[in-house]
This record gives sequence, C-alpha cells and structure tokens, in this order.
Amino acid sequence: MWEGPTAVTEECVSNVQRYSLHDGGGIRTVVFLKGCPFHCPWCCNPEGIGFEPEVSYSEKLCIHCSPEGTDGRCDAPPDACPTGAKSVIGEMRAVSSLVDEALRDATFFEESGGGVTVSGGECLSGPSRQAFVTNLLSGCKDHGTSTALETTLAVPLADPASLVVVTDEFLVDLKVSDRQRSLDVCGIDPEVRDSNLESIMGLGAHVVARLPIIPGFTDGREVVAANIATMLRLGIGRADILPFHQLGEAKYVSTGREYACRDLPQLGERDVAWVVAACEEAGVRAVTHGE
Amino acid sequence: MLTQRTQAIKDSLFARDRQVSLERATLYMESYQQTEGEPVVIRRAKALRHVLERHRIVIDDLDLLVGNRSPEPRSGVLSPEMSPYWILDELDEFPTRPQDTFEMSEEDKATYRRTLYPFWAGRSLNDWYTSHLDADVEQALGDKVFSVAQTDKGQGHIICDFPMVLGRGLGDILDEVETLAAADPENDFYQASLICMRATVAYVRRYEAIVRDMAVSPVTAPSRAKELRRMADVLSHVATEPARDLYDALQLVWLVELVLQHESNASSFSLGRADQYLLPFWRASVEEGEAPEAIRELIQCFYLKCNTIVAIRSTESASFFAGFPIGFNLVVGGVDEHGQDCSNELSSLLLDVQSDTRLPQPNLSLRMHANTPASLLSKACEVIRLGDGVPQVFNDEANVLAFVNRGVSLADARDYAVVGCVELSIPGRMYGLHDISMFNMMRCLEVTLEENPDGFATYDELEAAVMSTIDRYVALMVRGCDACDLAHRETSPTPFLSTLVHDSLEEGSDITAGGARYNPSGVQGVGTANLADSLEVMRQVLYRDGSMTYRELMGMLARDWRGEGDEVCRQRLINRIPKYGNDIDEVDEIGARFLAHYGHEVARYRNPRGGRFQPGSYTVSAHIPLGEAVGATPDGRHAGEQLADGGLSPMVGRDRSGPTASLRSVSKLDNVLDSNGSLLNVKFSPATLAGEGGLAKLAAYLRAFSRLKLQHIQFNVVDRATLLDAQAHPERHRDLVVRVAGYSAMFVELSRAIQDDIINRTEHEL
Repeated sequence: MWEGPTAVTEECVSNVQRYSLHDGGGIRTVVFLKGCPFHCPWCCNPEGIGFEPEVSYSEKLCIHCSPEGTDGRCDAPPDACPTGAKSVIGEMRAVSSLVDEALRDATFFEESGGGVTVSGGECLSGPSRQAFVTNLLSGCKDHGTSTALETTLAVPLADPASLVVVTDEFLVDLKVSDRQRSLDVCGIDPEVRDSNLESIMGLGAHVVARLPIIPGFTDGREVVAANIATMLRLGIGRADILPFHQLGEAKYVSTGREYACRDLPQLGERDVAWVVAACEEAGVRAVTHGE
Repeated sequence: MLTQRTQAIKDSLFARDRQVSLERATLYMESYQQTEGEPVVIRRAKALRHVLERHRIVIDDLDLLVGNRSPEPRSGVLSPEMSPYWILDELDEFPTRPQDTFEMSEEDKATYRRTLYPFWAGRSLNDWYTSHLDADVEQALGDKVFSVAQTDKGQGHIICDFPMVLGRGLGDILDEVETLAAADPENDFYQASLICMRATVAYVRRYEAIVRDMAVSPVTAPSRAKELRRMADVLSHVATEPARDLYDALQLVWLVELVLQHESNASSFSLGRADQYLLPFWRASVEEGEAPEAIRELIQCFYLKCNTIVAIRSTESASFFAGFPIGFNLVVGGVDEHGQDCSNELSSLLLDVQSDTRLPQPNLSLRMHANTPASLLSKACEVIRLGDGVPQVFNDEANVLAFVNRGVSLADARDYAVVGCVELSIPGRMYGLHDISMFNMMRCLEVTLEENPDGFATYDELEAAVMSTIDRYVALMVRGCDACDLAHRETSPTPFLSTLVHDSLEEGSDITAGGARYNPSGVQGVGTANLADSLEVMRQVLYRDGSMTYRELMGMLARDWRGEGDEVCRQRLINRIPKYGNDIDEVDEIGARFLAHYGHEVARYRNPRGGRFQPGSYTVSAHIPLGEAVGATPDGRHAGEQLADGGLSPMVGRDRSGPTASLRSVSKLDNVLDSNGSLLNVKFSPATLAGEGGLAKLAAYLRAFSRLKLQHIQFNVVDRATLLDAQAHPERHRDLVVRVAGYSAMFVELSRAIQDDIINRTEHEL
C-alpha cells in the first residue's frame, strides 16, 4: 500500500495497460489519462480524447440481449450489459490506487528495466492534472520504480521542476513541424512545446523524441528534416520512429467517432527506414517503434 | 543446420505411415509359454532376454548410432501382457481413430485375435488390477472423479542412473550383480537382474557383429566401411567398458534406453541431466580432436533416435496424452549438489541442436535459478522463440524446496530432473509413479452440488462441503492407485530398470517392490482455475449481491444454460465476475486454498512401497476428456466443455489482463507443495518476441517467473491456425497478445482488417 502524500483529486483514467512493451524501456504498465485538448486526426487512442467518462459499444461482443435503440445500437445502460460489449470508458481514480495497481508488476519492472508510463490523452493538460501526475510518479519512484511520461509537452507547465524530479524519461512527440499547419491540423503550438523542452532539459530531464510518421502529415522530407533540426537545436539525442498504423480504427467505431484517416495506408518498418537513416546521419540514435 | 545425413534420417522418419508392430508381443508370449510356474520376476527377465536375442535389428545406411525398437521407426509396439482388452476392442480403429492413428495389417489383426489375445486374457497386469478394485473405487472411476493410469502399460516415468552406466560400464555393473547373486542365490531379483544384465551385454554384441559384417561386405562403399568400423569399435567397447568419449556415451545411453523400452514398453524413460553426465565425455571428444561439426551431427543423430519411438495408447489414453508423447525429457542447466550453477558449454550446445532438428523429442527442459547465466537464458529464449514449445523452463527456486519438503535430501533435491511432461523426479533414485492419477476437482464440486439440493447457509459452508467431497474421493483415489501399484509389483516387475535405480541392488528388491530410495505416488489435482472461478461466481451471486438463488443457478446448470434468458445470465457470470488469472486476490486465493487443501490431503496417505502420495497440477491434454465428464458449472462452462489447460493456467479466454497478471495469479498458489510437478502455458505471438528487445523481454519475464517461485512455464509462440481460430472465436482467445506495428496488443481487440494483416504477416515470419 502506497502511503505517500495524498492527492486531493482524482483523475479520469481510460485504461491501465500491463505488459506494455513499447512505451519506454522494459516491461511497463501504462496509465492512460483520459482527455486531450488537441485533435490530431490520426489519433490511435480516440477513447482518450474526451475528458469525461463515455460509453463504448462493440458490436463484436454484443449478444443482442436487449431491445435496440433508434440508431440500431443497444439502448440498455452499460451496467446491465452481460458481455462488456457496452461499457463505460473512464474511471475516476486516486493516486494511491494507481500506484498500488502499478506496483503489482514491480518484479517484472525490476527484471526488465521497465516501470510505469503515464500517457493519455494529454496527461499534462491543466495544472491540477500535472500535480496529479507528479504525485503518481513520485509514488512510483518512492518504491524504486522507474517512470516515464508520454506527452506533447505543448501545454503550459505549472511546476516543471517537480515534474522533472519524478520523471526518468520524457517521451515527447514531434509531429507537424510548421507552426501554423500544426495549429490547424492538431491544435498544437510547437513553440510552446519547444520552450517547455528547453525548460525541462535545462532542469536535467532525459528526453526521447517520438516521431509518428503519418502519410500526408508528417512523412514529408521537409517535416522530418525540421524535426531533426529541432532535436539538434535542443540537444535531444534519441528518437523513436513510429510508422502509421490503423490500430485505433475499431475504437473510433466503438466510441461513435468519425475517423478521418480511415483510408490512409499503414506503414511498415521498411517505409520509415529512411527516417531512421536521416536521424542517424544527423547523430540522433533512432529505432523504429521504440525500445 | 542438419547435415545431409541427418536431414535424410529426419525425412525417413516420416516417410511412411506409422505401423502397429506385433514383433515384441509375439516374442514376449513365446518366452512366457516356456516359463510357466517360475517366479514372475524371472519370467519377466527371461522374456526381455528373448526379445533382445530375437528382435529384428535394422541398421540404416546413414546411421552413426544404432539401436531400433521396431523394424520400422515410429511403430506402435503393443503390449498385450499389460492389457489385451483395449487392443482387441480397438483393433479395427487404429487407422481411423481421432487421435494417434496407426496402420495395421489384416494378418496382424488375425494373429492378435487368434493367439495373442487368448494367451494374455485373464493373466495380464490389467486383470490383476481390475480384480483388486473395490466397488466404491470402480464407481468413482466410472463417475470420472479420477482416473488411474498405467493400468494397461508399463509405468515408465523414471530416470535411471546414466552417470553410473557411463562411468562404470555395463561390465562392472554385471560383475556386481554376479557377486550379489552368488552371495544370495535365493534372491529371485538378483537372479533376474543377472539374466537382464547378461542379455544386455549380449544385445550390444549382436549389434557389433552385424555392424562388423556390414563393414566387410563387398557391397559396402569404402567411406561407409570406415564409419562402420568405428561404430563396431564403439559397440565392442561399450558392451562392457565405461564410455571414453561422446560417441561411446550417446551410443550406450541409447542402447540402455532401448533395453528399458523392450522391458517395460512404457512412456518416459527420461534422459535426466544430460548436460551434466555427458560433459566429461564431450570434453574427451573435443580433446581427441573430434571436429565440432562431427560432434554436432552425432548429437543430431541422437535427437533423431529419440523420435523413432512413439507410444501407442488406447483411444481414451490418447485423448489424455494426445500426440504420442514418449517423454525423452532432457534437462540442461540448474544447480549442483552444493547449490552452485552447473551449466556449461554442453547445456548451450544441447539447446542449439534443437534448432537443427525441430522435432518434438527430446523434450528439452531448462532448469533455471537466480544465478542462471544470462547467456544460457538468452540461448533458451532464442530456442523458445522458434515456436516449438521447447525448452520448457523449470524453476530451481521452487522445485528444490518442493523435494526437501517431501523428505528428499538436499543434495538429491538439487539433482532433480524431469520425467514425462513436467513431472519432477530424482534421477537414478526415485520410482515415483509420477503419472498414476488425475483427480478431477470439478467433478467434486459437481457431486457436492448434486448432494445438496437445498444449498448452503453460508459461502464458507459451501467451501467446506467441497473440501469434504475432495477428501472422500482422495481416499478412493489412493485405493485405486495402490491397486495399480501392487499390480505392477505382482505381474510386471522391471529387474533391468531396477538394477539401474538405487537402492534396488543394495536392498535386493525390484523397484516395484519398494527397492528405490524414494517412493512417492504422484497424483494430479486438475481444475483449480475452474473451481476458483465457479466458487467466486457462487459467492458473488448467492451470498454477496443475492442476485440469484441456489435453486435458480442449479436449474440453469441442469439445463446447460439453455433456458430462456440463461445465456444472458451465463455471459454476465463469465464477464462481470472476477476470474482466476487476472491478479485479483480474492478469486486467486480460492484457487490457492483448494490446491493447498488437496496437496495436504493426499500427502496424508502412504502407498504400498512405503512412500507417500504427493500432489501435482498438470493436465497434458486431459483437460479435454476431464471436461467432457463435467456438466455445466457456475463459471459459465457448458456441459462437456474443456477445463482450463495446463494445470495452473487460467481458463481459456478468462485471463484478460496480460501475461504478467496471469503469472502473478499463479504465484499466489503455494507452488512448492506441488512436488510432483505443475504446468503453466503462456502464449505469445512470434512478433512479440522478435528482435533483440523481444528476446531481452522474454528473458526478463523468465527472471520474474523464477523470483515469483513458480515451478514451470512453457511458451506457445502462436501460429497462424491459432490466430484464425481467435478470429472465429474471439471469446476463447481474449488473452492473446500480438505485436502489431508499434505496439503489442490484445488480438481480439483489433479490427478484422488488422487481424488479417497480422495473420498474413505471421505467416511470412514463420
């Protein structure tokens, strides 16, 4: 039982994923905080966009046991669903319960060099969530568990110093490089991000850049070159190259969202080999998918 | 890589359909016809001698090692002296039965019906066994609460003292037996042992003579003649002398294995810690200047030999042990008698050769512990990743303690190895009846519910009632096992095997009569996962939220969930109530309580050899037939549906929290109690383990497994067929982790298109 400083708030958690292999080193448990202020059209975790709990419905698991609603989908409350086809995504969780859950895999973390990663949504959206995350990672570190954050870092940071102290690794996305286009497409201001990067790196943060390679958005030579230039300017020495995939498609359907990238082709390791090469050439160590 | 020679041998193994062979049965009967009235142990020895003198020896042009069980490889060698009955019943079904088919000629069928069956009917091991069962035990067997095995075949499931055989040579052991027999001429066991040892030496000489003839034959090519001369030299030497090098050692081990098979016709005369006892001989070969390629080819030949013998089982038995496992279990790694790591270069090489042969035998096992070298673990992970399911991994951190808890000396406990599938045994010192029974805990639940139509006032009363049913049937199981134990003593002693197991020679008695140093009987408690799931459901719906009555639940079970609204309820019970295998303490602890209860209960009983009963938890493939015997259960199982696989694995499709959570669940069981061995299956997709990173994570997963004090784990690196099944029946594969693109993910949560993508990609990778 974790008995560190008590967080006054709870946050909405969409999922706690154990045995996660590619969100930081080793075997990890990833805590996904629900809610994101941005709108990247290729998002692969659409269930994490809204800040409130929401209902998800999976046709595949449905046994059609109750009268169907007007839209052809089940109209019974999720609680009544026997199979979990209809379920609520998002649960308010306190720091202590998340630390307890994460520490269940401590043996695996220790043996693999893994730990806990907080992801989203955007896990740093808003000062109270930042305090929550700081507490959560602090609780993990108190038990010797290594920590990581997956974030756009494109939000104002209330207390970067405290965050840096409890975060062993920041996994920061570099997406659309042009400021105006980034604001239009994703709502992300790269200047905010870069200024945050400078700030946390000045405080000694260890940063790995993550480059999602999305056809038509971030796969242009000029975009990659600009992102590499950013890494060089800020002194980021490592990059994970993440080729576009269609993993999230089913979740758009189950949470009733429109998916703008349905027709984009998936990319394989070979399709992004040139990005890896470009990084390496610039002196940035790069791996496809992450460690 | 296989060499041209070993590739050709491998191909030849599968070139023809498996045949039934009556050669041994016929020779055995001939001998028995001549020894009427003599002591049974002498009759058994003389029958073995007759087989060794007369069976047809076949030496292929490619062989470097000799020794054949039957004229054709992979023949089904029938043993009507064990039970003539099932054979008669199934004579026409061998080629068409659902599992483990064999061809059999009409002529052989006629021979069987005319001569073999009538001779053995009324005088087989099985006759002794069935005539010594009491009515209660028969009833319980009929009700499938437990099974008793080895009532129609040899016991096997043992490792003889190979280090002694190799280090002293057959001649020296024969000398000892001669001395003992001369000093105590009234002791039938010594006389029988003497017959067996002389026959074995002569058997090796038979091979030598044939090889010498082949070497000088004018039709033999000069290059082959040279090989044959060396083979003759090896055979001439090992007929009586200790092994000099690896060639001698592998040849001698194989011939001893063959004699054991000819004697007992049983599954699992396992190979024990081959990387330990072969090491000095391997070193000698290296020092002699034998080329590494030649050494590797020789080991390949040995591995291939292990695939030339298959076990023919009755249709029922084949459903419990599908795919004719013969149990050439070979262990590498682990600690020595002082608790220090004793893995060596040969451990690694023996794993490597599996990546050449890619066949089911030998059944490789890695013993791991806190200080297993990273290089050996990594090598094992590489072989696991090939997807053959080997090596399986055993944990010294739990298993040594398990034996010490049963009174085995610390040094002997540290020398444990594996027989059959996952049964733990002490090489050369233990006759453990490791596979004598499977106990169906789910039938005990069912019986308890049937006997209490009005239910129970509290949940605790329900648990207590199930435990009491378990106790009642454990007592019956013990009587059934003891009848089988005694049947082997009375009708089927094994003097050759006993000679190579301590302390039979010292004590002057066959192992079937208690001659071994350690004498447990291993009985498997099956159904832990389903029992925990079922009781958790009952606790929730009957005693916590009261959403159902006992009578309502019993009604649904009685009609197998086929009434109005039952399916919705069943889905709720499956999906909305915690299940074993998800790291949820409350339900995992039910499993732990019952496994411990069963273990302590069986350990109260002694067997006729003076040993104690000990629990194990594995099913091999028995979760299918044992499930067929159980009606619908509160965990949402349909009547007849399989039980959880493995033994300790969660019920298929019910563990949805990933492979770390399932390991944690299993770790809550007191695994150390399972001194007979337990089994855990874990599935991974090949892509999850790909690359250096994947390999490192598998190794880390195994380190955690060791620290969590589990006994055993084996990996299923999932193939295309499984993925296709997962697509058709997602509810059965909710735990399947696959590597997709940037992530690993639960397979069933992916869209159809992505699933197709993964299926196709997997095919490329494999």
